Amino acid sequence: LSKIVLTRFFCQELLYDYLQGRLTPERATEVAEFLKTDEVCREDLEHLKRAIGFCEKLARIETPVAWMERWQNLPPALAKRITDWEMKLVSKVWNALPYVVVVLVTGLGLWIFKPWKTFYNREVVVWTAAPIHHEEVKTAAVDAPTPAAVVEVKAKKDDATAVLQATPNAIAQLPPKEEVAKEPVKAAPTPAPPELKPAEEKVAAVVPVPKPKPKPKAKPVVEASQEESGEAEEAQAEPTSDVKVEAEAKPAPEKVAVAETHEKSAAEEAEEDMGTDKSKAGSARGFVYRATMAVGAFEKDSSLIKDKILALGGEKARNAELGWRRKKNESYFHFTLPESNHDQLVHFLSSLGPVRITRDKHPVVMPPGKIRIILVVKESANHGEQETE
Amino acid sequence: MMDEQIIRSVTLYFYLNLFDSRAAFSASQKVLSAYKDLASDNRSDLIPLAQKILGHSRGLKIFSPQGVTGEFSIPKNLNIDAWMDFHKRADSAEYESVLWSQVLGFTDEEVAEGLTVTEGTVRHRVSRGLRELGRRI
Repeated sequence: LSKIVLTRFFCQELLYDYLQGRLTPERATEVAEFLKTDEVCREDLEHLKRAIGFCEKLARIETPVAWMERWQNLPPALAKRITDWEMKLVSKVWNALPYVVVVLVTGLGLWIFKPWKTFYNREVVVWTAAPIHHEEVKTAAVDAPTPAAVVEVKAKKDDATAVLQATPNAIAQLPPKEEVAKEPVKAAPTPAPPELKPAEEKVAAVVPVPKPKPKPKAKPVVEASQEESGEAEEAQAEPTSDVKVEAEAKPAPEKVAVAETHEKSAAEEAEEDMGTDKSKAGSARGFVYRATMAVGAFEKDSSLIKDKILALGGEKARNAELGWRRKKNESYFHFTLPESNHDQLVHFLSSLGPVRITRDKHPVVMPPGKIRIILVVKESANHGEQETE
Repeated sequence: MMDEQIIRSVTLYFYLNLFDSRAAFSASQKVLSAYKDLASDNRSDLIPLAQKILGHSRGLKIFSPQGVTGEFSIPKNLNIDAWMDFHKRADSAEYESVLWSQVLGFTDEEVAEGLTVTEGTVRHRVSRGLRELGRRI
């Protein structure tokens, strides 16, 4: 470095070290000699001196005493927490921004579309009841000395109830599908012999109960499907029940009395519900009942339901025939019914299996005294298991 | 206990960068607490900490704590405007070098270590920075 010839630029670069006394004596002499001849370098030297003096004054700025006292005993943990919190604050704000946007958009959407209005537009009229089981009728049959007495006991209730309560048991005792349609007619006038088993007595007890329109021969599933294949798509497109079928477990045999009590309470509850519905049904706006239920003996129960609907003055609505087999083990009933027979139908259905009914508002207003019902009957899952066993 | 000279240096560093007592207080608190957690005896460790906090503090003035009492005591014959002008127009590397070296009393070696440059670079920056400052006084 000492061999480099001193220029103005080089001299300017050395001025700071010159003032600090860091140059070798030879180089310091060269710089001093150069400064005598170069005015720009002399000015720069003056600037340096003034700046250094200015910096010394700046260094005399006093920090507030309170700050000094505070920080001399700053607890590290608290200090770290303050630092971390403040350091992360900005990044947290940015990280939270997407969530804030999502919440705002969701809130705006809710405010605009008000989905709860759609939700409350649907009135749930749930009418769920457990079916009457074999043991219940067995008890009645055993207690009664003769089949006639059984009929007498059942006759105390209304006809429909008597038929329906006995039906599941009768179905259980009857032969397979093809024979089922024929058997009841033959058995009807014949009183059960005394030596019959209680289960057989039940069949005999069922038969004498008058049926308004007995239709022993149900249409074969295949035929119905073929005939109504055109209507099927239309019916399929119809709004079906959104309500889930409640697959209720059947009570144990030893709890028959409890089951009866439960059924009664369910019936009472349902009657109350239906009472409120009737009052609402009087409003100008239309509605439709949607019902789903699960039955044990699907084929037989579907046929019975169809008969019962017709007996109660029901008529098919739209194109699908009553009991149209929409899927395997699922039949579809879309019909109108005199409002006065609504309770009877519900009672009947509940005797076959758990039924769930909802009432949805609908733009179509039915004529006074009539209601529209869409009923979907499915085969109970428990039934298949029992058969396997 | 924190060294008084370090507290002075840190607070003055932020005051001469932010020119606001409350902001300087907030930033100094962060640096001093972080420095205390480091448990370091090396003053050069303060330099990167202070520079980091300074970068945040420039955007965080609104978070300066309320109710900070006390103001910096400035000598009467000191023209702080010249320094503010220098702060505004000078190269930041030169400004930092002058501040740490000439105002806060750090050695060239400490400044070089803190800024991760050579001592020659620090002297060069200080020289140029001081000449620039001298022209504004």
